[in-house]
Amino acid sequence: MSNLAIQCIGDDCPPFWTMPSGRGFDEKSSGKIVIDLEKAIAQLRESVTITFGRPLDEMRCSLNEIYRECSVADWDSYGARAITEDAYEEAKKIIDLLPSSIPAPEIIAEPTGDIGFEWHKERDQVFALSVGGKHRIIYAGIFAGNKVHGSEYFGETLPPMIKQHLRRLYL
Amino acid sequence: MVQADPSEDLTKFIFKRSQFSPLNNRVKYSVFIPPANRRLSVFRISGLSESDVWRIGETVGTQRALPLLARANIKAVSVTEIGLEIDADDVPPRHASIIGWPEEASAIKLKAIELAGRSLLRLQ
Repeated sequence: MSNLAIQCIGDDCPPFWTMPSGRGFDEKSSGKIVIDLEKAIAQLRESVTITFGRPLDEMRCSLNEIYRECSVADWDSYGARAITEDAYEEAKKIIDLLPSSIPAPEIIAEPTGDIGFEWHKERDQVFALSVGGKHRIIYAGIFAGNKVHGSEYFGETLPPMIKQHLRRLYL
Repeated sequence: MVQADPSEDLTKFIFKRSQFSPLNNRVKYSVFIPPANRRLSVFRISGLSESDVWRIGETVGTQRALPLLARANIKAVSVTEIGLEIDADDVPPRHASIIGWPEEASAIKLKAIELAGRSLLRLQ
């Protein structure tokens, strides 16, 4: 049986995968559970390809285009810093780590050399973050009059604070 | 420093396709992120016709070898209300700079988001 990893945006999500105890079911019933689970996983994979596959490809395409256009200094003729390969790699990582339960952001080149991700729900419901290849996420957001901004260390996972703000916008 | 009148209309010319969304009729926040010298270039357009405004933008675009695609209109009061200032330097004529940006990058991003939310997209 293959493992199933489901990324969860909330802090209170239960674990999805536990070791089978080997008790409580006979061979026949546990076999049926495995088949049902595998069917569910196959359905989930199918729907992921249709629902989320395209936005993921579009985000990657958009990122590549921005990197191609803005990886030279002064790309905006106002003295913008070039987008570095490190920033590009971090932005790719962000795309891979974004929870599939939220809409795809718009990807933006910033004159600072950062690559930005913007979620614009309404005029007063906006969240944006950016990465510049320095293991920091710079973020700011407006949530119906409440304003937040700050920065978080960015290692191998999306910081909980970022997930919390995205959840505030969409869940 | 000469300050702009709060009732004045300002515009920020846009030369990059990725900085606005025609589909959602909005300007993206990156338009209002200032450059390293912390002087965000805008033009004062009160009293000018639409064609005059576009003409200024085309001149700027020609100087920078970039095609003018759109602009973001914003009231001067929308700038000052969020704690920024406008230096009406008038070089070139009608030019001004949005100044007074905070030090922290995240605080700058927040101001840029606020300005984008208060601006109106005009397409070329």
